[in-house]
Amino acid sequence: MLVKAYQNKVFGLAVNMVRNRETADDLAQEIFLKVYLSLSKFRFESEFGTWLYQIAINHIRDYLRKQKKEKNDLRLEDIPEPRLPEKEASLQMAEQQEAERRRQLLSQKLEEMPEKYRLILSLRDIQGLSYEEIGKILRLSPGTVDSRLHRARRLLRKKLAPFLSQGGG
Amino acid sequence: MNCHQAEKLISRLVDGRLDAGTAARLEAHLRICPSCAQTLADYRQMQSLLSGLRMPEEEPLPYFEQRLRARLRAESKPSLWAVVERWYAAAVPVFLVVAMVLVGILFLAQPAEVQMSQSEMLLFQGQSPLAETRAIFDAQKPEDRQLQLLFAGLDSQEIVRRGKQ
Repeated sequence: MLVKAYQNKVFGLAVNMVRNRETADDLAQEIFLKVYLSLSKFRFESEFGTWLYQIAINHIRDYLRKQKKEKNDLRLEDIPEPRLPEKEASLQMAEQQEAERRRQLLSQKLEEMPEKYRLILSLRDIQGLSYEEIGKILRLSPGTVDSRLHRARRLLRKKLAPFLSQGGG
Repeated sequence: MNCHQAEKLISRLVDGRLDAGTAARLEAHLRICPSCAQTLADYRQMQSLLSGLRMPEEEPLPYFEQRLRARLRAESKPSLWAVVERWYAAAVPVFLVVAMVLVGILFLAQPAEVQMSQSEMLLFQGQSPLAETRAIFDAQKPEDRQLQLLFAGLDSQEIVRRGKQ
């Protein structure tokens, strides 16, 4: 069944966009339902995976638009401080907590970005798709993918400026 | 190469999308421009942070496929409203076509208007068709009347003669 082949990809895309496993699971189910009910519209003009990704992205976008709400700017201080590692706690634990804190901050900054930038960064740098794949999914020329990615990175860098020189990710 | 051009190329460099020549020119710029070198370092750090966002566990929640099958079955089962809606969608055009055909039939099947002569019309209205003629005839002078009668007599003789021939 097609679901087996694509469920991890669709779920991965959703979870990386919404940052919540339960919501992502729901979205993935809805996406497959949509795909199943629109199978008759698939014209074999593109690869099935690309078509499925297009449906998935549009569905996630719709969800994000509905969920869009004003969120207060999350400052580094707002993110709960990791508990002070007890003497017996390993240094590795503290590092993991620090990495989690950074991930939360990055997710917050990504959420503040315009949807088109967040999406392209997610597809390229989180999902690891090629320019060509992104172009097909978002129906953009490679030149547009290139320039949009550049603008997205410039904006993210600006948002992360106070934290970027704090040393590696 | 200026910093503006370099920044755009840096984005491609971190994606490994620069040809050797352009990459060499960019690296030459980076050696003399600490600001652009910092941009490259930031972009690499961002890329590393972003790739760290990829969820290590990409499997959906348990029984994903089974749950999906159940939802598919529920979606495939037509609800009463869906049936009504589908029937309604099909019925509207059919109804319109049938209505148009019926109107057409009624229009075409209407009996043609009966054409009545003026005399018939007068009879239909309860008047004598000769009344008007008589009125005209009475209004004419007696000499004219005589002449008309004379000509009428000649006409009838002519008809008799032709009949004999």
